[in-house]
Amino acid sequence: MRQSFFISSVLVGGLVCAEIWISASAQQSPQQIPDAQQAADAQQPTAAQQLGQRLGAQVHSTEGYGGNFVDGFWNPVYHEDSLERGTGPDQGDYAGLPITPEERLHAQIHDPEIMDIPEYQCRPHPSIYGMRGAGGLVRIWQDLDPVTQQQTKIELRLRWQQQHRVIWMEEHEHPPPWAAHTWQGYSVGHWVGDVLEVHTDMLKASYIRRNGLDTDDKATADERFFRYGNYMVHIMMVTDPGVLTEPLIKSNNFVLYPNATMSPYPCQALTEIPRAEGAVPMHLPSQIKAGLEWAIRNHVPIEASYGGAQTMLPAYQDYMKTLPPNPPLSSIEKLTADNESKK
Amino acid sequence: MTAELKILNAGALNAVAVNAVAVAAICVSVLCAGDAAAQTPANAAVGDGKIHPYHVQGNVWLMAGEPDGINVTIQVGSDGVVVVDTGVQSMAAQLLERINDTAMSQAGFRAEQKPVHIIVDTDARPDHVSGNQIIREGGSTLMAGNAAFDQSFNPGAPVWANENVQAHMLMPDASGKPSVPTVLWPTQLRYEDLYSITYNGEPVQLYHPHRAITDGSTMVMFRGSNVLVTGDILSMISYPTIDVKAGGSIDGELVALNRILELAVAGPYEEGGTMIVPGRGHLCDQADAVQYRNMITAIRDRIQFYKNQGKTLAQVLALKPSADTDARWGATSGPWTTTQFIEAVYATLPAKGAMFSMRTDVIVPADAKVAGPSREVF
Repeated sequence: MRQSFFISSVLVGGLVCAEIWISASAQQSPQQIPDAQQAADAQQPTAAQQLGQRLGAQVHSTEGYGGNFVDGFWNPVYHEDSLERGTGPDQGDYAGLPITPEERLHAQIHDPEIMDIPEYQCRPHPSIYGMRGAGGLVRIWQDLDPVTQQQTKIELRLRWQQQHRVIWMEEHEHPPPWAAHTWQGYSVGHWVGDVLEVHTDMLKASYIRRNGLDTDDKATADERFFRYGNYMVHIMMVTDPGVLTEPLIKSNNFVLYPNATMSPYPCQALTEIPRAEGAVPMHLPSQIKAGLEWAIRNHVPIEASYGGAQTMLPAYQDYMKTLPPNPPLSSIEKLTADNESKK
Repeated sequence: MTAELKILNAGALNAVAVNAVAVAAICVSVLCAGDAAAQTPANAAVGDGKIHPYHVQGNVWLMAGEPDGINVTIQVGSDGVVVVDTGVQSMAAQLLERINDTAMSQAGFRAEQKPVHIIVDTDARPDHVSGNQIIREGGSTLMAGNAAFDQSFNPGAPVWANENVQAHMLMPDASGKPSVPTVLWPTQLRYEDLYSITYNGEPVQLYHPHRAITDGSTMVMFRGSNVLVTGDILSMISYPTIDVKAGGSIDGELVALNRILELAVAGPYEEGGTMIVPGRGHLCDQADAVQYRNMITAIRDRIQFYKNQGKTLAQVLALKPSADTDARWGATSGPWTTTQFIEAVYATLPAKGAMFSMRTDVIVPADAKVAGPSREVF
């Protein structure tokens, strides 16, 4: 009995000492962690680095074992380009976009009335625009292989028009060239450290802006997903040689929205405006000038409103000062009125 | 154990192993027979010289791999095989082999190969009919009565086409002979705008649009499979190849495109649903056809606008009415160029006309502000 009591005491004592040592270490750490300068000098990890190391298993990921840090409900934060992304851009507003002259012509011919033809009413945003547009809540989740627990897919669901997207994270056979294209395209992704990189192709012809700037079915996209605390930054890079002279790069921010619920978004196409079958709303060549209203009202030189890669550069502002003044709005309004009467 | 015995044992084991592997391979091949025809290699590419069967939906398969993105479509089932267009002659033998493989793979456990029983030509173009002879001779006609006892007589599978297809094939070339050899001619001519049969358990309907890309075009709707085969009326690689000499016209083409939109029913959120096999290029659905229809209508209306102003063809070409879409759909060389397309549109539009619609006689209320056609020229 004495012997068993002694052994038990030693064991308990050992456990208590270990616990005291661990707690002491934890208590000592905040006081004894050197600041960044001292750490650099002493080659000791900083507090942030130590925190990162302790959280490594939760946040950081290795190849094939993706982290779950993009999982959850994400609410878009319209701190960037809120007017364009929310209410939508005006026709004629193409400044700062690397579009070809032919794409600008295509946008000028665009008549917004085309958006209410029955075949367009239930179109979802394509994946190259969905994260940017006024789609609302985004839910992201991962699928894991039941045996290996390796990440096989990351799926996204955007509320508006119930856009459902799959990003393949494992080896998956790419559809052949003759397969049908889809709104969300075919996406493959992989982790580079904490950053999710995604490439998408097989997209339907769709759009990069809601004022007539369309893409064709040759477009591809590359994305990056970054997480900073409860914020996610999404970078979209769209490539379409027939439409863009260089990749169009846009960033979108999201904030984590715990305990969110996503409502369904049913859609049924209706005939909202009586229109003869087969008639397609569009602007004829004589009506293109009516699209200059945005530039004139906002005192943007018309040439600048045409867009092009050069309009993305800060130095372009100096060039703008040399451009001639815009014509009066009255001249454009008369043209618009004449054109409306011809419809 | 002696060395000889070891070797003998090793050899025996090797023999057993080889036999086991062979048996396993046979078992695997039998088990996978149903999938063999369906497997498109991951590295399958356009123009690799091979025919790739690709399941569209239902009973319908796309036989991809013909040059220039030409699509051959088949319907398989217990009645036999329907082939829509036969591609080029150089690939016809391989095409027939792939058709038979696909039919066999879909025939069920007690496989009995069902031959090609019907061939449909969507028009008279060489890359749609050049395989007619080989595919026809590789198929058979369902025989009955006295003729069924004469095994030496089988004309092969019948070839269906609109009557104007044969009229085009009959047209003499420079030497005075028919421009298309008789072995490629259709064997049964269709006159109706709509011809329907039931085959392989589903309705199969042949639609004949008037004066689309030619005056002899046919579209095939497989209702049960929900697949529409359009021929070159719809293309995913170029502007429509309107053959004016063969009776094609831009307004007829637009009527046919709108007919496609009527026949096709989109799935949820405008994706999927009725799958459409265009004459060339990747599979599509109603949403893709809508984009194509909108584009062609816009170009047509712009050219009509210029023609209403009295502009000549040369002036219209200089204005580049299709500039915004040429990068994707146009061509400056090859069998069908942008210039040829503009010329065809210009030639088949009236001197004075309205914006396009399916109804040329629309009563619009005086105070209504609606988009669409007007009786007045714009």
